[in-house]
Amino acid sequence: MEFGPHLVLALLEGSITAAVLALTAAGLALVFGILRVVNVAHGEFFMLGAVLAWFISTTLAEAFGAGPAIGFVAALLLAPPATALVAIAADRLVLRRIGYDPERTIVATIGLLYVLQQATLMSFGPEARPVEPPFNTRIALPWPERVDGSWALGWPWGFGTTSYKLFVIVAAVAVLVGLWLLLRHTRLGLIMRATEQDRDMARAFGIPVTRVYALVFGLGAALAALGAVLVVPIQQAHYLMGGDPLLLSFIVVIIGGLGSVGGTVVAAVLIGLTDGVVSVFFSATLAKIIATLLVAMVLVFRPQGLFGKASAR
Amino acid sequence: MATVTPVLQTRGLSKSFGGVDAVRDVDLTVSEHEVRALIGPNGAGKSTFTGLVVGRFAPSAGSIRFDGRDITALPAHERIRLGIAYTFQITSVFAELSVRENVALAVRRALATLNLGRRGRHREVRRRVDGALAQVGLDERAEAIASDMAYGHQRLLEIAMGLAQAPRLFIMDEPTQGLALDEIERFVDLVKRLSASTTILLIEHNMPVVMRCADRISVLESGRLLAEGTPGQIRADEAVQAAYLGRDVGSVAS
Amino acid sequence: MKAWLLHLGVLALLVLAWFVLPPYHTGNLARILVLAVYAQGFNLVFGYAGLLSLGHALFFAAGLYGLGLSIQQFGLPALPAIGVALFFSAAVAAVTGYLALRTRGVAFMIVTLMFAQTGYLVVLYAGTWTRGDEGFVIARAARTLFGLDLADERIRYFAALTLFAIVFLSLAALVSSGFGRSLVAIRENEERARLLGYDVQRIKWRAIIVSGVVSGAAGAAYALLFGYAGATFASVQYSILPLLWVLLGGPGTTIGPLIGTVFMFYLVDFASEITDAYLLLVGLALIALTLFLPRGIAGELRRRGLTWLP
Repeated sequence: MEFGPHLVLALLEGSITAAVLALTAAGLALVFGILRVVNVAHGEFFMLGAVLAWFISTTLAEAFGAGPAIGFVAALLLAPPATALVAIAADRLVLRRIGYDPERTIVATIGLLYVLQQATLMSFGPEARPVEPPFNTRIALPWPERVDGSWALGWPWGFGTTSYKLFVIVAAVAVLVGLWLLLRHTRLGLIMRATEQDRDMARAFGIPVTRVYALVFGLGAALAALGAVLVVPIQQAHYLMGGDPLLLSFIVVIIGGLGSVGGTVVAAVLIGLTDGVVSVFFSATLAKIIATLLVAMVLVFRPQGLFGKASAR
Repeated sequence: MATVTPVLQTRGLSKSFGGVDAVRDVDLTVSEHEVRALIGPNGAGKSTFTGLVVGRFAPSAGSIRFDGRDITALPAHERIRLGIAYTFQITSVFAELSVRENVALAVRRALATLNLGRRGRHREVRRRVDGALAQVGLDERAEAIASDMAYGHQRLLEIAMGLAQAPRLFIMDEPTQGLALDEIERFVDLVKRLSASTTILLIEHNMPVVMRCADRISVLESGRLLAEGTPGQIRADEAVQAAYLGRDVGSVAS
Repeated sequence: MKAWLLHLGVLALLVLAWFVLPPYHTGNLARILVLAVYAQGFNLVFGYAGLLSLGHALFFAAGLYGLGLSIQQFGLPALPAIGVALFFSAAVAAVTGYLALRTRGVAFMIVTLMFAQTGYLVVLYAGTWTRGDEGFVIARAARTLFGLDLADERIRYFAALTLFAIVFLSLAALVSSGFGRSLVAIRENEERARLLGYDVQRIKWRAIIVSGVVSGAAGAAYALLFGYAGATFASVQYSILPLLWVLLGGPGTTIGPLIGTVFMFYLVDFASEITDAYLLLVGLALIALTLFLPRGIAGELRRRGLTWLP
């Protein structure tokens, strides 16, 4: 394949990364914005979503002979709420008891990371397991080629995508739009934003802050899990798959401006596309090195990220 | 006659936070051994002004001179090292450490420039700590943990920490707030004794204290210097009365 | 006075342990002592200065690979290789510390984590020399110091103990010095410390450099005494472990790091016989510690009566 189609292909793959990343990172941004804590176990909620998706679709297939489409829909509907419940349990048992103290929360969520990861290792096992996509027709993509001195559309071999991959992008966009609508145009969203602005004021207005916190923490986990359910037919479920999404979500949230969900989405697109392109043309490790250093430097030199507001001195 | 360099001199000192002008174009001069009180209604910019002097924030405009030296660009810790001590409006001490260690930390920093050798330093630290604690009447509580003490005593501790630095300029932000009456009496005596060895700039709301301690008073209102003078002059100043009490100037009874 | 007795007593116990304990445990103890040095390095920054670094593995690895590669690639003998390792750790700590200190709170934690991750990825990327995750073995012949064969169990034990003793006593002296107390002041109330004239940024930076050198010394010792260097030691896990050890033992105490390292080592040792997922125990331990025992073992002892505990 020539450079042109190769680049477009990289961009397409990058878009999928970006879509899933946007969902996952939005969850992290929401939690940081409203609870003001960093959840280091966020990647494990992602992993849980994928593992639960495998579990649900496999059980339905084996017990009821359900096809991949039904299995997938069930996973999509059940895995995120189940993950949310795990998150809410963690919030009630641990985070609330330590008063959402930033330092102790980081330590506690590191512990949670290991607990979730290793519990999955013990039950799910160390292998990667695939999940079948509900539909997966190949779609060949056209590319302008010179034929006999004039331009025509050709279909280069290997240059294409699948219907499922396009669906992932569409689904992610739909969910993000839904999230935006929730935050901006519903009462619940208003309550969440009020709590984010000023916790004590919100409490004074009768908003049950601890319940909002639990809800937001659950919602953040559900978003990550949803992203994972969407990507697992492409990627396979594995107990260590939470590491990369965690790192990338961090990068996105920081560059987008801690707490700004809108900035997060833009940053996710940027990072996802870049990651896709760099990984295709250069080594994946080098891409990660650059990304990691970039996060550090942004925090050091421009702590408000690209879209956050600079705090007063 | 030779002009003596004032200990503190600000020129056109201003600070804006976003759209709010907290301090506007303040020219203030404090001479050595003076006790200067800074008064004004709430929100007048007094704490912001002292915050600018000591270096907690950078000014939007203007300059600050300490003993003739321009310190406007110096970071806070270096200004302290030049000889400024500062107590916060809301008491700020090392809550989990003992009273003695609190003052010792202040002393050690101040002594760091002297070359005393280890044993000499231990002795000097102890001497200064005991001295500072005695001056504020906390010598009996030297081993207590700071946060275990009453708020008023913590305030006195903070003053002791400032004294322990043997400063050229001692800035105090509402030092008598939270003190009991007998403590306030002792504080007034302390200030009067101290002015012989240092220069004092204090923000105060307690008018009797101000009238008794201050050599001169500067009045701030809405960030601007409204009036300046001796206690007698300020007491009679109609603009000051209007600012504080919001009355029409014409209806003031003399 | 009591503090000195305690410190010397601990060291005496450790000497005694060699003669009293069976070889399996003394072998473990040699490892524990080196890791406890690492924990003490971390404790200086976390327990005393109050800075939560999530990237200390960078310094440990700097020492580990600084020594390992010096021997492996450049054929340096042990002593100059140690010098290289210490210098390299100091340099890395100075540079990353300076940058990281421009941030505070959560951002500081993330920046340190990112720097350490970069280090780990660089180790992987430079696989031709470092052999990545697989790592490389350092030949026994190269592991001699002052004519002593460090692979010999007795020599290895006492070499680890010597390093531990030096760091243990030096840090104990450091934290009771003016510098050490200024760290505590900064941890307790940074703004007050600043407005007493303390150059807070400079002091924190110095603490990070000392911490980096100590952690690097532990890394170099580990490579030298146990003859192996691998990328795992640069991974996030090795940034989390000293946090765990110090939290358990008691941040801001001198014996805390040792207590925490001993305890966790044996807990993990015990757990890994039962299951592959021994990290689960690490996770539960972290959660339990931050919930119920935020001051750690020595810290709680100090609060409940042993107020003289250094």
